Amino acid sequence: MLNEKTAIGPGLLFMLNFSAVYGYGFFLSMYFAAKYFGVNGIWGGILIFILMIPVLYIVTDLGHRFPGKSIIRYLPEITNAFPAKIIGFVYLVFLVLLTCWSLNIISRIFNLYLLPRTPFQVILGLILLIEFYITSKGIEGISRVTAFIFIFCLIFVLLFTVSSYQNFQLDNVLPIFDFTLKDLKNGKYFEGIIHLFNVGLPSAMLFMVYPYLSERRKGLKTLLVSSGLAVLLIEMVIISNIGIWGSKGVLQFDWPFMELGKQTNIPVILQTVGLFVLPIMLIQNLFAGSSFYFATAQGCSEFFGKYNYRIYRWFLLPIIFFTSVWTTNAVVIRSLFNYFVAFGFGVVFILPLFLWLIALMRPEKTAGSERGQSK
Amino acid sequence: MIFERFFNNYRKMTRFPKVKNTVVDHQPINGDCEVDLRTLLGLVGNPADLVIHRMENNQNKAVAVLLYLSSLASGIDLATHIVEPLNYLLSDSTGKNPDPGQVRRVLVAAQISATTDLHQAIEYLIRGNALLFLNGSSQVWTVAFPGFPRRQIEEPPTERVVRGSREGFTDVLGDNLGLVRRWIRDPNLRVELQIIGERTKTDVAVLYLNDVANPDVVREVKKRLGKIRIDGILDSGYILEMITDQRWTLFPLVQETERPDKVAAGILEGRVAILVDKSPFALLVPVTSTEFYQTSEDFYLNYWVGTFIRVLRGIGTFISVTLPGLYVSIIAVNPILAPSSLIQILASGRTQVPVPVIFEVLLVFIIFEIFREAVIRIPSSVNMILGIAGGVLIGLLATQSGLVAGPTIIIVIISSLSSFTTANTSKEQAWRLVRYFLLLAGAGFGVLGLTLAGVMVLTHMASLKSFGVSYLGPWAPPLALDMIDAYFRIPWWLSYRRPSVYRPQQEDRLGDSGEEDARNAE
Amino acid sequence: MTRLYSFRVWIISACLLMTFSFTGCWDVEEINRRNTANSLFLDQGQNNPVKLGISIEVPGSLLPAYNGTEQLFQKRNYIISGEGRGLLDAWKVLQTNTARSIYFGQIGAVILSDKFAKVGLTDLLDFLGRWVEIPGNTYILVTCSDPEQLLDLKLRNNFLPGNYIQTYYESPSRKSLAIPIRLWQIFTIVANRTSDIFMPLIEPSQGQYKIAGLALFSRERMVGTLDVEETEALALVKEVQNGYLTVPLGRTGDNRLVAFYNIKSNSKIQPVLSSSGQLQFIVKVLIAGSIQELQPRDVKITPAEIRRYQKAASLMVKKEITKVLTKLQKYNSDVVGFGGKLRIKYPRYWESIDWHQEFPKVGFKVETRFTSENTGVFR
Repeated sequence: MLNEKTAIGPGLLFMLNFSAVYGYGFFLSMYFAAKYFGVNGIWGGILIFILMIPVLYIVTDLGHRFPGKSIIRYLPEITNAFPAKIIGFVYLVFLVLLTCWSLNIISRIFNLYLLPRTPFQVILGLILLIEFYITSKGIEGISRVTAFIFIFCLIFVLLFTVSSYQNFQLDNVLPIFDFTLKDLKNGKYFEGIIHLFNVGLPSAMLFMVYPYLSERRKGLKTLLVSSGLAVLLIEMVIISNIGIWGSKGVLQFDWPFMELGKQTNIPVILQTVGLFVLPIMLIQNLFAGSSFYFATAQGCSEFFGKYNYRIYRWFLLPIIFFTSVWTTNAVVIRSLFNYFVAFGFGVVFILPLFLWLIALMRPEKTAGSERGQSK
Repeated sequence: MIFERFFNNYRKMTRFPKVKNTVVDHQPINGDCEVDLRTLLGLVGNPADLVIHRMENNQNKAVAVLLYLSSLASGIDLATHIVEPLNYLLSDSTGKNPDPGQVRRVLVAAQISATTDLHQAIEYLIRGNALLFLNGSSQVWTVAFPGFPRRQIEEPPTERVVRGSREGFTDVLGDNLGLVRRWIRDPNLRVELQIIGERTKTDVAVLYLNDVANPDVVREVKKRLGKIRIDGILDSGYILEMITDQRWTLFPLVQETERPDKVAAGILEGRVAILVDKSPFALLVPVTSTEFYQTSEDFYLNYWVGTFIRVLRGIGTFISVTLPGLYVSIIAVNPILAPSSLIQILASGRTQVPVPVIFEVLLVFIIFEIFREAVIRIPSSVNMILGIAGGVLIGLLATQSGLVAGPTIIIVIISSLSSFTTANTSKEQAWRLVRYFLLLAGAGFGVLGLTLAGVMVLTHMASLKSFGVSYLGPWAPPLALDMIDAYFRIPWWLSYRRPSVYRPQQEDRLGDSGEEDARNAE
Repeated sequence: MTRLYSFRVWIISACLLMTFSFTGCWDVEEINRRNTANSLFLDQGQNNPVKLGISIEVPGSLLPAYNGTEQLFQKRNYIISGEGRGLLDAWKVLQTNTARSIYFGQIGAVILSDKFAKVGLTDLLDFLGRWVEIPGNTYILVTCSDPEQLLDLKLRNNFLPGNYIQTYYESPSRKSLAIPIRLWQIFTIVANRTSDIFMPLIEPSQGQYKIAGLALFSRERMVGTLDVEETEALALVKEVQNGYLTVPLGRTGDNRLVAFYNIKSNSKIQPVLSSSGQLQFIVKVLIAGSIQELQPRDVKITPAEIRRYQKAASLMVKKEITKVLTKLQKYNSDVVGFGGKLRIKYPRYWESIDWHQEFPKVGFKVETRFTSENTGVFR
């Protein structure tokens, strides 16, 4: 029998990361780009990627300093035991909320556009059950199924991205750059940065998944390229949406209307893009949600100990479900989301930066751990 | 009671109670051929096809006995090559026991062996060998002159090709081994025999290239074969079920084929072939999902054509599995996703249909499946009439009477016929059932249900492994060159590598790149 | 071990049983059980402010004809309508008038009466925008006649009204005569506030529909119309790919003319803000076309003649465009999108003004250039 591998290669990590970033970050990116940056929102993708670079670097650097360990395991080596517990707990809470939010977005979209009479809880429950099933296959299984569909999804995403430029008006994206001091002073840009960083929040799961990477020397390149590709495709759609609807026009809508309202360039076969877009987005979101779910379960297993991630998956199932459905009021959820992105920015950007700086400043502890670790 | 046994035996190899095995017991040869003969008849029960030749010396005393089963051994060859020369030799002897050395020199046969154990001798007898007892000798000679009925080598009915060899395996292991050996004339080809089945004692041959196949896979194959405990192996399908990695999956994790060229190609790729006596289906392991979409024909035709056909198979499978679910989702749940002109025609056509679309589709599918099963057994003389009456007329009249809508019949027929583009029956059967799952999911929740069900099926496939090889390889984990080769038939003048997904010892088909192979071996 | 596997069997059975609760009955409604509205009209009611009506196909009438069945020739659509205080109220009344539930997911066109359009579209837009089913690429048109009678016509080609309008606009040569607008474009224009909406005017003619011009809106309220020629001139400014132009070559009464086909126009609009705060737009329109008709016929057109035709065409186009722009200013309806151009070049100035106050005061300088590319099959 060929040896079973529980590691994942750079190729699998590439596809997993791409699906996580694209499947989660796509949905609200054009709204935030238009809301906080107006026409300048067309630079939103570049801003997102610039913000993600340090996070990805920190993921890989801490992964090299503490080989084979996830963030839950190396936190006590960076800080003391008690702060490590607090930070670890906060991180896990964030992952739960991230999984809930990812579920919420896609369930809401399907509830609004395709299944309006089906109770929201049923749609969410179904999607959650499928994510639960995918998570049961472990990181190897999740990444394999992601990899299998990757090529097909990428082709359809490219097709839909390119065809989304029909009815593009150049005037709507001009002037190309219109920086205003007023918006800088009143904090609109800063708020926009935090909201745009929503696309980068899936990087949180990388802190749990990175130890599974078999070829660590290729880690940073893999993550940068996969995140870059996902952000590039999101950026192209941000540009096309602002180009078609204008920066104020984008603000009126929930995302899918924009895509359902546009025509593809193959009008005979399909009247709307919906048939391609919604299943592909659902699939990408499923993989994103599964990877978050796995990261949460694995994190709980390492944090609390005693059981495998498979058991924690069961404990998390009702927690995630009830957290996701405790309110179905769209207006309440939209306002809560502002707090969530701020929390996410803190957990995914500020906190790892802080930990990394401490790890840099305490080389004796981190070097010792590296020496003591087997490959 | 049944469930108890199910739970108790879960995850264990199936074990059947052992019966008394004659080979386990030992009994030495007496040396008096009449005594031995009587003992033997007591054990085998004087079967009707047992032929006994007594060879007498010039004093009319039996000094040698030849017995064989006329249904398995060739009486004419035995008479010509064994009985006649022996009679000639023994007729000159006078009361002495025959000299075994002299006897051995006159025996002319391809395969002669000897045993001192009577039970072993019986084993040989029931395998088709003739037994020669000599007075005064403590061993019995076994002579092989097979004469059992066998069919001719024909084109395999399940894997016909337009271009390529027309030879298919038969039910005789020896013939099948010969067919494979004609393809691979490499001394590194190993053929290792095992006998499986307490009562059938079926010969099972394991074939692989010693310097190519991954030794872990070979070891695992032999280990799993060795663990099989069953009373009888009637077909390679039994072996398949016993050695497969996952027992509860729809998807085949072992490949079956009737074509020797396919077996040869698999062995050359570093896979292991299993040939079973009395079965024309050979097994190939490990296997990935993409193997089921490749046929020998792809490699014999021009590579553009081969590529086109492979891509077509993939599209055909996708259509077959998703089209009914998509049709029902659009009709019943999400009509917004279809162009309005299509919706108008479909709605108009369904105005009088009395049943919901899901029942209509399921009903037509079931009828089609019944036809499909019935057609296999309909006598050929009435096949055409019943085919026209059953298929064409019923379909036409059902539509005209308004019981079912015309598009439904079109969808069912396209879906059912597309499933045959899968180049393997087991895989096609699996997709056949998956189609219903997706259909029900689409009927309940539209495109959401269809997508979720599809992802569930793919997740299940992603978790499968065949002797350690990921079932979705080379897509998952991604292997760039193999991925290209999965759907694009690389021309032979560009192709010099074996699929790395099977982790062969040598990836280079000509063994030129030693360094890389050494690296792979780590 | 047995206990563990029993537990597993129970869990699996429980999950399977739970799936029966996911019967999906909620959204299952087959298309033949729905009244798929093909087009929708809005008008002022007799007793209520809003009258909402839809055109629905006769069930079973849209099958392809075979064996000479009559369905090809019978009228394929009928109208039902309802009145109410508001749009949703009217829609509710509509639902009570039909055996099957009404489905708006395949609407091809929305027709507004001019009376309804003059009251204002703000409420309508909110309703249509929030309603999920209505596709974003629905065409919106205005009619000066009774929309109910318009949609109740048995068209000569027996198309459904929504299909007719969609087919009409699929032809690329129509866009210069009848500038289409879709629902999502209306939302875009209203949200961005850099221009005003417009809608094609649809009227019955010769047993079919014709597009009779353009309805102009100012801040979502219909304020005026353009006739077909004015619409053609406007289309040149908005850039067309397949237009027509007929240019008289002599004085009035002289029937010398040159007609061009395959008109392609390219326009550049440049705002110029002077130091005194005076705003002017320079509108440069470059047009190219092929000679399709020449009266009287001339088989050998010389370069001098070509130049003459081009000059005549340029002058005529300039005159027409200027006339149209004047009319737009009169109605305070910026359907061209001058506000957008101003926003791009002078974003700070744009933020400081109310475009609707400023638009009637701006000046226009129109420059046109016409080039004739070829002369058809004849020389």
